[in-house]
Amino acid sequence: MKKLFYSLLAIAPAIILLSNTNHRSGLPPGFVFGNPEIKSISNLSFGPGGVLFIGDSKSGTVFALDTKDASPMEKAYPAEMKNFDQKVAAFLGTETKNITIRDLKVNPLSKKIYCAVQSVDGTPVLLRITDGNFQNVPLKGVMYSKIDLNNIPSEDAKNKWGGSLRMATIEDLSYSDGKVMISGLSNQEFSSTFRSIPYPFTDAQSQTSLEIYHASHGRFETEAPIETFTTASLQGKKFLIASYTCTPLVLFSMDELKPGAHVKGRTVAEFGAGNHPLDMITMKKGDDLYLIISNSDRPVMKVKYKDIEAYKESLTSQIMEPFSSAGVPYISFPLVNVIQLDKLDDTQFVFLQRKSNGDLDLRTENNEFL
Amino acid sequence: MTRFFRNSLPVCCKLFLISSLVLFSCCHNRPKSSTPAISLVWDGGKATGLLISKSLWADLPPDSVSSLVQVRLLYHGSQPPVAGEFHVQHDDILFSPLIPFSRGLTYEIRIKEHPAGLVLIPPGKDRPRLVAIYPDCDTVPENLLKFYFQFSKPMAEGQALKYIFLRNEQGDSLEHIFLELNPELWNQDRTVLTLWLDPGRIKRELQPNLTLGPPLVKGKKYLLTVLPGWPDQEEQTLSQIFSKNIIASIRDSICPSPATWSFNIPGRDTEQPLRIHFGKPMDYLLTLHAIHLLDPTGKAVNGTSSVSAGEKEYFFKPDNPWIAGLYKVQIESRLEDLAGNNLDRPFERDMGKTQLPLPGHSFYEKVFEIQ
Repeated sequence: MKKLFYSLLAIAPAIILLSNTNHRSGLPPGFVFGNPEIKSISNLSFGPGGVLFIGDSKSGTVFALDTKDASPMEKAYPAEMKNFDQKVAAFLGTETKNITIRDLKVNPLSKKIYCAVQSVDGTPVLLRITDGNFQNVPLKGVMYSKIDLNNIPSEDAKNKWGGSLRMATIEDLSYSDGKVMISGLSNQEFSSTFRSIPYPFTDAQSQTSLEIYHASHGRFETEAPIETFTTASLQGKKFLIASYTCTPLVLFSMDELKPGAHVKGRTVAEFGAGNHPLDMITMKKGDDLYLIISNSDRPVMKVKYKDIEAYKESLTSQIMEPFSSAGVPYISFPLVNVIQLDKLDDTQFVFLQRKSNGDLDLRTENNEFL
Repeated sequence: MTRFFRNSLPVCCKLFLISSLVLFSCCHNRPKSSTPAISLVWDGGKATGLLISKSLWADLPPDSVSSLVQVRLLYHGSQPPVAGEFHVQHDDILFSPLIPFSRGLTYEIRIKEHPAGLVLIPPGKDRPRLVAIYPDCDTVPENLLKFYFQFSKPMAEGQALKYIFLRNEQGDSLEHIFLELNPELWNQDRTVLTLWLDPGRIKRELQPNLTLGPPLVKGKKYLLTVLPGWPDQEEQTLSQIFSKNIIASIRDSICPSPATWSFNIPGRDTEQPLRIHFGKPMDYLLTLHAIHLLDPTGKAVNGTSSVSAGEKEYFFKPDNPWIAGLYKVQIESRLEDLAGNNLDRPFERDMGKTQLPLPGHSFYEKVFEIQ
């Protein structure tokens, strides 16, 4: 009896651990309960079942966090909050100069808005906006899984120091069709990496090197930093749509993004120099799909997917007129200084806009705007 | 603060504020044997919590603490309760805010809606300093790719382009010179910032290059300026302006070649440094991180690396004396010069003419013998 008691005692921690890896919650294997030790939040992207992917540049890790916010909601209430940054600062008990808004994303299931904030001392905070109020989303005592971006060997890394694998920052992160895609930069060498990581996370991690051809340039560029990207189906085929620092819009076939591959992208639009893209989303109005792009130095633009589908060429000639555009046509909205943009529901998009008086407002527009 | 006192608070509040701050100050200076009613919890220089002693909340049921006790920022207008967690531990309530309390700000503790005390978070003690800017040399190629800014303390992120300017000979600050990235490129402890000059303007024939011209032009002089006011992670700010003169020289489009480097070989049984002369300035951080030494048995040699002479020379001082035999210097191909040309490829390539190498494939090796 005593032996049985001690045996049970010995396996108790394992039972507790197994019970913590909660398979019945609908989470995939690999999730554990605990403190993920998130050191920074660079980017957010929602995956299936209310799982939120968090890019942590400081620790070079991508976390999958169970938000337990998976109740479907068909329609979202328009979100409007004036002086958004002041309200965030007040909630955290500080001044606006002591916080930075890092990302803003909508849970596609619950339609709730999530906002990543960083304190001046580097402390990351994740907030959820419900009925115009902030809620803290705990980053400790949660179900999570993670993948380390810096210590996994890649097929094309043959030297012992890891070569190009180091990633100082995660510039953008997006989940699509069972993959988390990440664009990153080094703080030392001039290199831009793009990775595609299967989810649920395993030890297998593929790194794809992307090659693009700039419209205004007679050369291929391989290490231009990707600012933002999204995925879309064009004529039944899945594409990665990437936008670069000097704003060309480039398509990559998702079928070709394989480990170690060197993929040539097709430049379909040039939106002009002196600007860089910030966010890209897809909206629908009637039968038409639109790519909506927010920019650093230009208004929010819309591009018709039909025009992208119809554009079969790749921009190859130089653009001689300064600041001019070429390729797929676009329309500029009367909407400037939009620093965060995401789809709120099928008919609305939400954005953070810096107004001319300096205020930072959270606003919503619907697809009548398109 | 003075104007705030004059304009924003009624007389009774002013008196309360003054008395409480004084009270807090007295509490703070008490001998350790007596317990202050309210005290701060510090962790790594950050005020991460607030302890409220039982004397202030004795009549509260412990399970009602989070609803009856509030911490608010004392500020213009009404402020919501600071978000955080309450824990009752022994005789104290521990309040942990979501982010550390901000330096220089005052927080009010309210119990059952009544003021119970004020806490001023003292400003940080040491102000940050800009220790160095790399490249250290004054004359740089006109296609210079990046600057490194090294600070004495971890700095606040997302601030760089508010404080860093490049001015021309007329004193005008130049627009769209640096690549704006979010997040910025920092090392892990946030003491070294990497700032790229806009690569789209450096690469010839790219749209930004055609439209805005290259960031630097051969023969021109520039002044790189870092303004005071940039906060560190303790909300202390740079106190002094930092300027560096730069002269743009001819474009460098040639890959660095280890075959042309000269070596000063140290003596056997000494701890003299190995010196490698590159012949042209190299990237400061990459030089420190991409060069590795192996001893005659193939083991990594432990020691200290440094870069000097305007990034043209690399020194390696071993921890132990050199032994006789063949040493290997392995240089990762990612090592770049100031223009971003690495050992494998120049920064600008005509891909129609050359085969594309995949990055990170190789390293170069040089061998030297200690007699």
